[in-house]
Amino acid sequence: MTAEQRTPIALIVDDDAMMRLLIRQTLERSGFVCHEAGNGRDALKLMGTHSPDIVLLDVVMPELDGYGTCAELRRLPEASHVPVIMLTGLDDDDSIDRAYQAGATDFIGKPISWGVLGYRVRYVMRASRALRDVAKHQSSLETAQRIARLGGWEWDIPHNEHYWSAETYRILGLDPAQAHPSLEAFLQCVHEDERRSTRDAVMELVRCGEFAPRLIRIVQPGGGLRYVQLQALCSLDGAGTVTRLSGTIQDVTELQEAEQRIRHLACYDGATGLPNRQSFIEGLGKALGVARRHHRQLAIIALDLDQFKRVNDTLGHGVGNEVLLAAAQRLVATLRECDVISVSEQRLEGSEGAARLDGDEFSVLLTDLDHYHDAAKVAHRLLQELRKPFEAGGQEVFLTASIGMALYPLDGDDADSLMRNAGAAMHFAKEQGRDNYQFYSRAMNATALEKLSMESQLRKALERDEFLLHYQPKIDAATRRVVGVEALIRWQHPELGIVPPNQFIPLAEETGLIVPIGEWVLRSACEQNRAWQRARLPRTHIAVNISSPHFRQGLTASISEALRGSGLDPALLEVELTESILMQNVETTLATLHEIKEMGVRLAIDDFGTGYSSLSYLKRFPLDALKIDRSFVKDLPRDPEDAAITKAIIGMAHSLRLQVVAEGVESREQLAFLQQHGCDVLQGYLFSRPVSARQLAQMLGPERVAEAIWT
Amino acid sequence: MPSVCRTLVESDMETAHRLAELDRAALETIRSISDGSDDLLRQVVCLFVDSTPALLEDIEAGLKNGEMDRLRMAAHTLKSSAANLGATVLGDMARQLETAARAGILGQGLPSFPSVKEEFEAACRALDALLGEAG
Repeated sequence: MTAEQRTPIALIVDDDAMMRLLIRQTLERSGFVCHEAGNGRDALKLMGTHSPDIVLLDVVMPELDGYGTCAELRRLPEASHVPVIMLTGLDDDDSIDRAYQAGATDFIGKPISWGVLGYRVRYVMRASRALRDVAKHQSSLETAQRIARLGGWEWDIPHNEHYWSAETYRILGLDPAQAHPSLEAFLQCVHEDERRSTRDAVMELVRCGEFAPRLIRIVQPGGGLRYVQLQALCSLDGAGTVTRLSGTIQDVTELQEAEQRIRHLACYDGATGLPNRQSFIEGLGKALGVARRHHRQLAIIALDLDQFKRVNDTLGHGVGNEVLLAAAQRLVATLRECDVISVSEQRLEGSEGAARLDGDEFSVLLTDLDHYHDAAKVAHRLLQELRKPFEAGGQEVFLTASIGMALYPLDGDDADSLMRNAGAAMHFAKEQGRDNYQFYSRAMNATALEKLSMESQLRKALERDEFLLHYQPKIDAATRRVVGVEALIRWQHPELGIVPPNQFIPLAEETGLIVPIGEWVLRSACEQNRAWQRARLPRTHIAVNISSPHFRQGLTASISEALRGSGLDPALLEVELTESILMQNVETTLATLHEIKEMGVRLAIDDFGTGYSSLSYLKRFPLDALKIDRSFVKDLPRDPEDAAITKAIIGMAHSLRLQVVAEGVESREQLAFLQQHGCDVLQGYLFSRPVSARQLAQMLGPERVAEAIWT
Repeated sequence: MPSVCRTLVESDMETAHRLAELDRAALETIRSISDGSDDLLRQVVCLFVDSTPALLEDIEAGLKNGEMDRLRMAAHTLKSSAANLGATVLGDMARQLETAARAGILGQGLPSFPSVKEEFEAACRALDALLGEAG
């Protein structure tokens, strides 16, 4: 309800009861509700209780007179704006002055003209309210401008006079008492990068009357940076000349910051701080444009943490988020600067999210790709890094990931299809048993499988017991009996079938897997021979090929472990070492060889003749046997050089008291030549290809193999 | 004869002297405030009759002892109440006393207290007569 609508309340203050009565009667007739006070003190008390809309105040009162009452009344917060009419003697100009000075709104001279008193009082009320409204509007406009951080400015061009509003000063960070408004002063506040263009825009407005609103930065004297929106209009005189510019300057810093925050929220994942899928796709679109122009390859990697839901379910979402963040950081650290990584939409808590997203998907964009093998290397590295345990919630958490890769331009030429194909490849990786990577193009997978993807499979092959040993017998040339067998590793791949050693041993060496594989071979060979011995088959030594890494990483320990574990007589174990292994770092080699020799294990040098053996070293090695490389045997006896070398090797070996073994014997001619020149032991398809343990057991029966050949 | 109030009746009985001149317009104004009835006028007259003797005491003491504030306040109040009831002579006397008291000079030519008192009584009689006439 406004003051206009409700019944106005008047407070009549006079010590004269007759005056109060008359005024009251008069005002009540005019529709007022009246309260009376007989002195100033009572009047001040009633101000609070009755909240009058107007006060009629007699000047001459005992104790606190009208002036004093008015002055005190003005100090009351609830009465500061209430109009006060003072009742003064018409003959007393001095009292009128004093009334105004005390804060009176108006005065009425005595004797009072009763007929017009009501109108007069109403008029004073209206005028007072109008004044107050004006003041209120003024101040609400100012308040509104302050809240909107909207400053105004004007430039009177002919007089070169500038006006800045209070808010303009505030936005510019200037003190109105000190700063002098001018175009130059304003431009000095503008960030130097935008100063020139802002000046040009203002001058353009002066010349052509056009101004494009612009966002500029203001550098406040204290160094504060504000973003402001600058708007301007011009006024023309009769001749069409621009005479005045008016404009606004609005501080939109908070809006800008909010926009940046919103943009960040919209583009980045809350849990990991990585760009989200949406911004990744944007980035991918740009990268594709560049790659198209420069004919570059790109790889898109879709990486999904395997069974991440399990982490959440067992350890809680808190730990889950911690692990996720750590995984993200590891991935970022593994990538190059120029690679882009993002994470799929924030994990949703609760059943819906968990059902929809089994784990969390990362996307990686590899730019500047020379060869798709590089993508495979990155994928390999990412998987490797993730396999390292994570510390979260006070325990170790183990993770693996499945990776799918799509290549530009091979697997698609737009962001959508590349993302989709990488995703499909990732799902294929999941189907392959997780913890591996797959290219979208199957053809690439085929070669990558052999060279690269095979590593993870190789790793699993050990756990899944996919390796097995085949055995090739060694025949004594004199007795024609099996005197030994060479254990040869095979990989029974669940899908590829038997994978030959030359297809996985180099990779195994490269990755270090060769050592655990070598240990397995040693252990299995010893156990097998021990089993044969238990079955009372003839004493036969079993030879195991040793790789270079294994030789240098605790071979002695693995051998003694294998012997102890199986209980095999050390004399029935032979280790075969290639020339190249023995010739690296001869002193260490010598020490290792002696250690092995002391255990009672036989030592043989394998593939002899292909490397660069120094005869003097050879003499110092505690060897038992020497195997002539199959390349010399192959063309025997027709190739005179091979024949000569073979004869020389046999002679030299015998002079060093080494037993000589020829491998790769496939024909009777070869057999005849080797026998003729005194080769001690023979091995090759002529006698038997490598066979299973069961088959070999049959051969170890009395002289059956030899009979087959020599009869 | 119905009297407005006791004081007026007593005064009436002691000294049956002249009636003061009353400005009828002022009285009509008061009547008009109360829509032409005499109710308000009766109340105002009653207030005038009841409260003025105290003012007269202040005026008398003020004049005798030179208490200017006391004199000024009392004269000021009497001035406006007399004016309200159209007792112009009494009002004018009060105005002169007020002005002199404000100036602080109680010189020659000022109305004497007895003359003020006599004029108040004449006004009372006139008002009583007026109300009796109307009533």
